[in-house]
Amino acid sequence: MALIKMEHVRKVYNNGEDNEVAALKDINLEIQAGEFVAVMGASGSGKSTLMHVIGFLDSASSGKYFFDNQEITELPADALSEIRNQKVGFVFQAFNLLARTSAIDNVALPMLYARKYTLAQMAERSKEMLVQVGLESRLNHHPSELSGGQQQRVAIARALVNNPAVIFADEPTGNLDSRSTEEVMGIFKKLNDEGRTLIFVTHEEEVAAYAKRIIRLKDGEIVSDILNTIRK
Amino acid sequence: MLFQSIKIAFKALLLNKTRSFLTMLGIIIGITAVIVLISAGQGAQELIVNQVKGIGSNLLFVLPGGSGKSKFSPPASAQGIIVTSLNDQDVKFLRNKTLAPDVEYVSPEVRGQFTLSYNNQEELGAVAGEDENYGSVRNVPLKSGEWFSKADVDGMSQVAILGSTISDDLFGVEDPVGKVIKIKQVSFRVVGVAKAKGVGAFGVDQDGQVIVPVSTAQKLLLGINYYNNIAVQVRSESVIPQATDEVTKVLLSNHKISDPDKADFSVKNPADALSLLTNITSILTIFLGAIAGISLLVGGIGIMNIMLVSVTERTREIGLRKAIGARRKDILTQFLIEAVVLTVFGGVVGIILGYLGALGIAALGNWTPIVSISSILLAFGVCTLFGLVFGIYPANKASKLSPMEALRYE
Repeated sequence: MALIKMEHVRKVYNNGEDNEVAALKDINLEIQAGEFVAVMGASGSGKSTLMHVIGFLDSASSGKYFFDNQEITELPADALSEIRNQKVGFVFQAFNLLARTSAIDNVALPMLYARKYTLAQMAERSKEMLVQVGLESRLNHHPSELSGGQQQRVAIARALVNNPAVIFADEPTGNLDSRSTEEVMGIFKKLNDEGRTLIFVTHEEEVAAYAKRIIRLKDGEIVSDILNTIRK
Repeated sequence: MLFQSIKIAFKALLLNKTRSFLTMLGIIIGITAVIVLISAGQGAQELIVNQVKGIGSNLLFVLPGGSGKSKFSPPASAQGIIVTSLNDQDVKFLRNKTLAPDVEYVSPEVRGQFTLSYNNQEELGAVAGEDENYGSVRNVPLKSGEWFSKADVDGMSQVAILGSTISDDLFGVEDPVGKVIKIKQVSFRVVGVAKAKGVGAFGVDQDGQVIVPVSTAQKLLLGINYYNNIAVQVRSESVIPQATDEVTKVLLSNHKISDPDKADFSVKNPADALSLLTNITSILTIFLGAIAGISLLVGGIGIMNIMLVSVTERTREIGLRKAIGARRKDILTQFLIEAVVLTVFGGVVGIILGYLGALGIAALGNWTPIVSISSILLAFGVCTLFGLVFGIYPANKASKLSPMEALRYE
């Protein structure tokens, strides 16, 4: 069975009010484990909303969402927290690192909430993750002392630290220059090659070119869903 | 797990030292203000009550001149009018056990101010003419020498007992006992020196006065045959009402007055003054309590403000923490521990500062510092409550948002 399965998912903001907006209208989607998917669309197409619903950061207004054979819409909040902590990692456009906190402590944060590691294990694993994204020389730097690309790599290390099956990324290269974009996408490609499922949102064709599958959204609906044959 | 929650909370507090400090400052100021104010109120009250009690609670004062019907209005003599109604006969009758059975001692007094001199040293001093019982009735212990005797009073001896400041001023380190001083050019032999007592009730400087036998003061210094007042010690505090009646009756009949409202003397009781003063000081306490309450409220609102602002501005942080797997419980535990740490640290500092402040105010006001446990508990309790409620309330609100809503929060 598919890792991710959505049936008639709808997301409405300001439900029942005059300014009601349907960000997602009737989304039906299946994603298998190991896929590398880009979600594309213009601003306001609902691609970010879709990402947040898929990534458990926001809930659907109606419809069904199965993740790993579990019906998500029926799960209590704490179970969702556990899934966010254990099974998925999230990378944001704005990095969302804790300010005035060292890279290594930022990476360790999800391990704190896993409640099963000692401080020494956390430090060791966080360091490993930062080495993996090429930041072994920046362990104790604060976000303000890092470039955008470096901050995003810290965020990726944080997303990876609990060894999740899926990485979600919402415009991960939106705030980066082309060189950093290449670095970040290179890391994603490597992670996918190692078997991890990757789903990311972008509006840049060049970035989407890294993916194996490209889903396009318009006005809250999927307008195309193709395999990427000219992969970068 | 609790250890890790504490670690998360401490890290979060250290991340923004200024914010943490400001939050604590609100708590510190609130608690300090309340403790100092309550302590000042209680200290002042104690001071006043003790001064009145220091006069002696089983004493009645007979003052010349009537004061009409009111218990608290001053007698004529207190308004600068010379009234000569208290005489030897009054004292004699008051000492008569059959006429006034509840009266223990009767101690008539005259007062005046004269030039005191020893060798070339001159001082202006208050001179009190008293009888031989004054020392025991009014609790004036001697540092050296002895009280003059009944014989001295009856025989108008020229002997004097010096207050400690007068003794220091005239004699310095020399022992005055046995020396001769002059009061208004009349020679007096010093027979004793009183222990230092400080300023007593109603501003009488007991250390700055000279005590001589009352008869001597009347005849040789003042040239009068009446008394300025008569202090009456009664058997015990409980018989003060009866004793007051007895004294009043004796004096009325001796002065041949039938209507008590037209009496040419007043019998005053320090307990009356005490009840009046207790009234005043309890109003003072209510007043200070109101100020303390307002500072508590202002402190509390300050804490509320900074807590609301600082936690609300961290909504994005809460969103991120939730996005990477924090449960609502984790968020609440973190903010609860943060609030507890802030209020407890701030509270302890506030209690210490409040205590020191109370000591300082007590030193300024010259009273014993009283820092009651209840004032500490009240201040600490209210500030902690505000700190906890307004530290957790916004965190609770934010923790209920979906991670995305919290992350988008501006």
